[in-house]
Amino acid sequence: MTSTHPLAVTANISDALTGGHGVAAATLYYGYIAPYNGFQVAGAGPGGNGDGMWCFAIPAQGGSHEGQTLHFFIAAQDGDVTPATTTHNNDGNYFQVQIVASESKVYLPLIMRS
Amino acid sequence: MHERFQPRAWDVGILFLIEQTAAVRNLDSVASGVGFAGTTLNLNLGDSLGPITERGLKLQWFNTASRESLGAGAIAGVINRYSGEWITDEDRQAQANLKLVLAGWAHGQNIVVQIGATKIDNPGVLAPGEVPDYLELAGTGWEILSTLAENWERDPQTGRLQNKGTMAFTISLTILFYLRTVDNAGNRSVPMRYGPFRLDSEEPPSTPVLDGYLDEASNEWLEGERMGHDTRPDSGPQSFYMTRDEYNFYFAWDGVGWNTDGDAFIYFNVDPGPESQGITTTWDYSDTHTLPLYNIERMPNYAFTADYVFYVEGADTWGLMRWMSTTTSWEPITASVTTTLLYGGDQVEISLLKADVGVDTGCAGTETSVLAFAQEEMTGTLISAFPTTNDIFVGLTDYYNWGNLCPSGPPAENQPQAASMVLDGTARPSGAVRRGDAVTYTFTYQNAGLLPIEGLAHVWLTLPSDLDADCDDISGDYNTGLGIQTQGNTCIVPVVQDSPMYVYELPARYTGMLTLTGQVSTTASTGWLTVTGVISHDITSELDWRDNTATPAVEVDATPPQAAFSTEAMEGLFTVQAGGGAIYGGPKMQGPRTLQAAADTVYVGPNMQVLGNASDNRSGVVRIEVDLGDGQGWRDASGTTLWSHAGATAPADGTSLTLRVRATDGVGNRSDEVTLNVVMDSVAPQSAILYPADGSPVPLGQTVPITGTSADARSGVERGGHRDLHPHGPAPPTRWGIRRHQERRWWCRSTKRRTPSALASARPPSRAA
Repeated sequence: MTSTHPLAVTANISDALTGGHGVAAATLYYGYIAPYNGFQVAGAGPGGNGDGMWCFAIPAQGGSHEGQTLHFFIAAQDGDVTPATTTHNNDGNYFQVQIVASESKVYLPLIMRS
Repeated sequence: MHERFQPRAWDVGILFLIEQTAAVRNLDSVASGVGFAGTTLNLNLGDSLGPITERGLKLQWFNTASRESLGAGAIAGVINRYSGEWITDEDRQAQANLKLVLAGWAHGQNIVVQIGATKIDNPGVLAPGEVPDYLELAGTGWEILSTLAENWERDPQTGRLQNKGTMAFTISLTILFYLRTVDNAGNRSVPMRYGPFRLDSEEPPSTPVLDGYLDEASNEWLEGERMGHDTRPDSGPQSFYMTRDEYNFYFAWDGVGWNTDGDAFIYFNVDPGPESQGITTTWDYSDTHTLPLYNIERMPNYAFTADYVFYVEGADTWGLMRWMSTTTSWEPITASVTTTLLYGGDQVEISLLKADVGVDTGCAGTETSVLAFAQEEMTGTLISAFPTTNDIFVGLTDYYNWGNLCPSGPPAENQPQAASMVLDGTARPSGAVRRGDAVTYTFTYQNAGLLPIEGLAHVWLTLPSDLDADCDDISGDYNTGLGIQTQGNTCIVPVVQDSPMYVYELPARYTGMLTLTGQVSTTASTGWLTVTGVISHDITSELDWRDNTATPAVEVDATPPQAAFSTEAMEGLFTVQAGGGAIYGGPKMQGPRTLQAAADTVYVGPNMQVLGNASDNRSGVVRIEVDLGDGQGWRDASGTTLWSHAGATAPADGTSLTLRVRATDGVGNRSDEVTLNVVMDSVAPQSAILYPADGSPVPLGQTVPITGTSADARSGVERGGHRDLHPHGPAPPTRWGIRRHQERRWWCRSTKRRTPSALASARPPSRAA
């Protein structure tokens, strides 16, 4: 992702296989240092019982993070009275996003000869 | 505590101030210079002002009409500088260029203030700097500064001058005022009450056309003549109209058929009347009702003692009755021939000679009260009542009243007259509190009605048992001479009475404030901690005003939150796609399923995730702290109701780790610590295929039963790796098998192409892996 733009993350989450309580909440954690949970953004659910597409927006990271790798993972919680939770951390590898500089344009000086 | 006068939303005042004058000659003569003639206020300043100092003469009046009544209407006045006094040129110089400050305060709709050529529509709030300090209008008001009109006329014989300048002004308002003047030494004249007046340009009450129909399309009856609209009758809403002219009362009833639906009664209490002692029991007509024994809205202990009743049973059955105190009975009387009742089905119009009910012709002299109701014909049960403030299920309490019946303004204006103490309450803090926290309850009372209260009024504050406070913790505006009485957990607080005069610098419609401070009991339960306040007129009879109850409350959160580790997995679909790129995950993603090893102990794998949930039933979870058993103590986790901490260091295989978590809610309540022991199992189970034997042929096109074994040394085999494989419990060794699989092609190919060792390594996958 570029340092000046947010990154949209979508997750298709459902609780359909056990209990069927639906997804009550989902949170995306991200950071640059393990355990990569220094920051978090709440997910926007699909409505209904929460089964479906959840959307997250990792904000623009700024130039200070250019060249660094952002790691994130997502935790979800179902709607049971005793909520069950799950995380998706890409089998322990976390999701990794390289922060790159925005596209830049180079303007050559225009020299006028008299 | 006397507050500075603070205009209310329904107040209006006007203040005349003549600057640059020297002395006040006669204060009372000023009052005599103010009066109303018809709908015009003639204010002759020239006759009484004389030389006045710069802080000069203050005339002001205050509207105490009902708060919504500032509708159309106007004061039309003339400021007349003609004094009839011839003065010298020298004196003229002293009176030249006098400034008139016309200032006041008004809130409402369609207010117009105009003096001379200067006009303000809907005068608003003046900036503080624009309000002269002598006004002290609390930042609200309007002001017009004008030079008093001058039209000097010289007497050709004496050479002296007199000023015949006049200035007209209008103020669109409805007012009731007390007039008082103040001189430079602070002396005040005796307040004089004027009004209430509806000073407007509207026509006096009209004389309706009596034909049995209200003719609403032609506005035969004015809106201001509709005394009430009662939606309670089962047969539909009813409206009661009333107006009058010099000789007659006119009534109309809309919405009921008297021939079939019920009977109507209009009771009159006139004072002075031909029978000074009326009766509070209605005429026995199927049943009797008790007329208002008091009218707390108007005046306590002022009973409606009926002198006359006009009844309507049907189009041809109606009449007039009179209470005879000499015989203590209701007796029919013959109404004048001008009395008319015209019946239009569900509408009726009535004309009744004033003199027939003991009311003087014209508008002066007779105080008149009216109460009307309808009742079921057979049972006498009340159907409707006017004023509609009467509770038809409880009893009659309210009636209309006019001090006189001067034909100005719709009769519904300002009815019923009222002194109505209103109690409001607030509690702080506004958010939840916990045991031991300080709380404050504030009650304000004010007379929102028309008349001053008479006698005593009390605020009854009932304290809940979970509040550590008593009557000594009440402060504010109360009658300290009478003191606060304690009855159990109730504090009876005598309020400061209304000022009987609405005059400048005295509290008009006094507003008082009471404050109760206390602490939430250390044994308080979770819930609302409510102090119930009721303002009542009399300490013994508890005659209540409307809007007389306030129940401010604070929310007590005495229940700590609950926190837990998540050891149950949410199982389902969980795929992730970042920025439109690759999709991670599959259709069978699941969370960190953990296996119970012992009480409070679970097995975990190398990719241990520490996460959980928390809840709070009141103020909400605001903080989660975890101890990861690494000697670093408590640290904050991410999230609240769904929380996690990824900083845990997995222990070596076979060793254990103790995790702790605790939660804090919005008011600082902390949950009990929850402990979870985890035992690391980082070794995958061992599996083997028993059948078919490695390399053995399998029949094409048939279901192939596959059996095998799986063993795990620590946490046990949780399940097989395919959705058709059925787990057989954790105890090793475990036999597992593929039952009747229907995907023939896949299995045939697989069983033929894969070696048993490959199969064994392919499934079942280790839970830990």
